Amino acid sequence: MFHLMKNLVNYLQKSGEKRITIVVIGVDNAGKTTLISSIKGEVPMDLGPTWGFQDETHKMGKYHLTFYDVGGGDSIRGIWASYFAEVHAAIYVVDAADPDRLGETKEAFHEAINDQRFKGKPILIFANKQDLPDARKPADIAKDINLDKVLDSEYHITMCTALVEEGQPFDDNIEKGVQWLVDRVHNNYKSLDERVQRDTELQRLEQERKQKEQAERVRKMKEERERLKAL
Amino acid sequence: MGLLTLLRKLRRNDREVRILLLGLDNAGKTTCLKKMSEEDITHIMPTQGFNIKSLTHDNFKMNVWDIGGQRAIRPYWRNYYDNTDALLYVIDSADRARLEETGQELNLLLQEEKLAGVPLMVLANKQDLLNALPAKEIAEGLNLLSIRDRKWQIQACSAKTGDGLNKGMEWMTKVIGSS
Ligand SMILES: Nc1nc2c(ncn2[C@@H]2O[C@H](COP(=O)(O)OP(=O)(O)OP(=O)(O)O)[C@@H](O)[C@H]2O)c(=O)[nH]1
Ligand SMILES: Nc1nc2c(ncn2[C@@H]2O[C@H](COP(=O)(O)OP(=O)(O)OP(=O)(O)O)[C@@H](O)[C@H]2O)c(=O)[nH]1
Ligand SMILES: [Mg+2]
Ligand SMILES: [Mg+2]
Repeated sequence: MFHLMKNLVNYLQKSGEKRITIVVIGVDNAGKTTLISSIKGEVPMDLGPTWGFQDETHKMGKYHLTFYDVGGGDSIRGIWASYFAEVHAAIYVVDAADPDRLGETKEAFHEAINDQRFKGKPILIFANKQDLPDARKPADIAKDINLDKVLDSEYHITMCTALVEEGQPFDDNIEKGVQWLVDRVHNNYKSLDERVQRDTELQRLEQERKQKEQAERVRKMKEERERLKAL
Repeated sequence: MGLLTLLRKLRRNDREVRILLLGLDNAGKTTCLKKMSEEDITHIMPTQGFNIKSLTHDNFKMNVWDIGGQRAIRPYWRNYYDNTDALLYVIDSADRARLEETGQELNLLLQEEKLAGVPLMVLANKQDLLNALPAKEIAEGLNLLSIRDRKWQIQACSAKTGDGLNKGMEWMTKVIGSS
C-alpha cells in the first residue's frame, strides 16, 4: 500500500498534477455522503449514517482532489478535528430544509473553523436539499449560522440539491461551488500546502507517540494479569 | 453501459466474497454470526478453532470466517488473511478495561501486508448493555483516527437483540461492491 501511495505521488509530481485534500463536514443527515457521490458524478446510494472515514477522489483540471467523509452524528462529530491538519479546505453541508437543527449546525460550524488546525483555510458552505419545500435560501442560512462572524477564512455559500435519481442531471451548483473552492486553494497553493505538510508531519509524530504510550500501557496491564494469575 | 461498469456488474452478480471476523475473546463474534444467520444463540461456547458460515445478501455470497479470539489462539489469525475482501472486527463496547488491548490487536492486523487496503467494519457489539462506549471513544481507543489507507466504519450493534447487524452487512456489501 505504501508503495502504491509512493508511486501515485511520484506520478502526480511528474505529470504536474497537484493534490488537494478537502474535508466534508456538517451535522448528521445534512447530505455529506450524498454530496460527495454527486461531485464524483455517481448516483448516490443511501448508506445510512457515516460513523467512520471514507476517502473519495476526483479529478478537476490539474488538481487531484481527495474528499474525506467522516460522520456528523453527535457521538462521532468529535473526530472531525483529527483530519484538519492535513486538509487544504473544507466543505460544510447544511440541511436547509431542517430548521430544527440550525442551532446545532451553527455551533458545530464555528467550533470547526476556529480550530487551530483549520483556522484560515477556505470553506465552502452548501445549503443543501433545495428540492424540498420550504428549503431556506443561502442568504437565510448565512444569517442562521452567523457567517459574518467568520474572520479568518475565505468563505462562500451556495445552494444545491445533492440527491439525484438515476438518469437525471446533476445540479450544476455543485461543480461550480467546488470550482470556487479549488480556485481559492490554487491562489494560495504554495503556502497552504507547506502548512499542510508541516502540520501533517507534526500530527503523525504525535499519533506515533500516543500509540507507543498505549502499547506500553497494554503491555503493563497484561504483565499484571499474568502476575496475578501466577499468585 | 461502459465496459468497466459492465465488468463490475458481472463481478457483483456471481461474486463470492471472503470476510474475516476477528476480535478478542468474549467480544461476541460467534454470537453475531449466529444471529446474522438466524440461528439459536443460547448455547455458545468460546471458539477453539474457527467456524465458517455463508450468508447471502444483495447477490453476494459472503463466506464469513469466525476465528477464536483467546490469546493463545490469536497467533493463528494470520493463517486466514489471504484474499480477504473485508474485515469485520468485533468489540465488546461495554468492556472499557480491554478497549486499548483490542486496539493493539487491531493495529497489528492493520499493519499486515495481506490485509492492506481491506475495508474495516468495527462492530461495536453489546450495545444493549448500559455502559456501552460512544463512537468517538471507540474510534480513539482503537486508533482508528490515524487510518488513511482504507475505509472504516463503526456500526453499533447487539448480537443479543440483533439490532444493527443488518445495517452492518449492508455497508459491507456496498463497500465491497463498489471497490
Ligand atoms: N431531498 C433530499 N434529500 C437529500 C439530499 N441530500 C441528501 N439527502 C438525503 O438525506 C439523507 C442523509 O444523507 P447523507 O448523505 O447520508 O447524510 P450525511 O451528511 O452523510 O450524514 P452522516 O453520515 O450521518 O453524517 C439521505 O436519506 C439522503 O438521501 C437532497 O439534496 N435532497
Ligand atoms: N449482553 C450481550 N451479551 C452478548 C452480546 N453478544 C455476545 N454476548 C455474550 O458474550 C459472550 C461471548 O460471546 P461469543 O460469541 O462466544 O464471543 P466470541 O467473540 O465468539 O468469543 P471467542 O470465540 O472466545 O473468541 C457470550 O456469553 C454471549 O452471550 C450482546 O450483544 N449483548
Ligand atoms: Mg454520511
Ligand atoms: Mg467465538
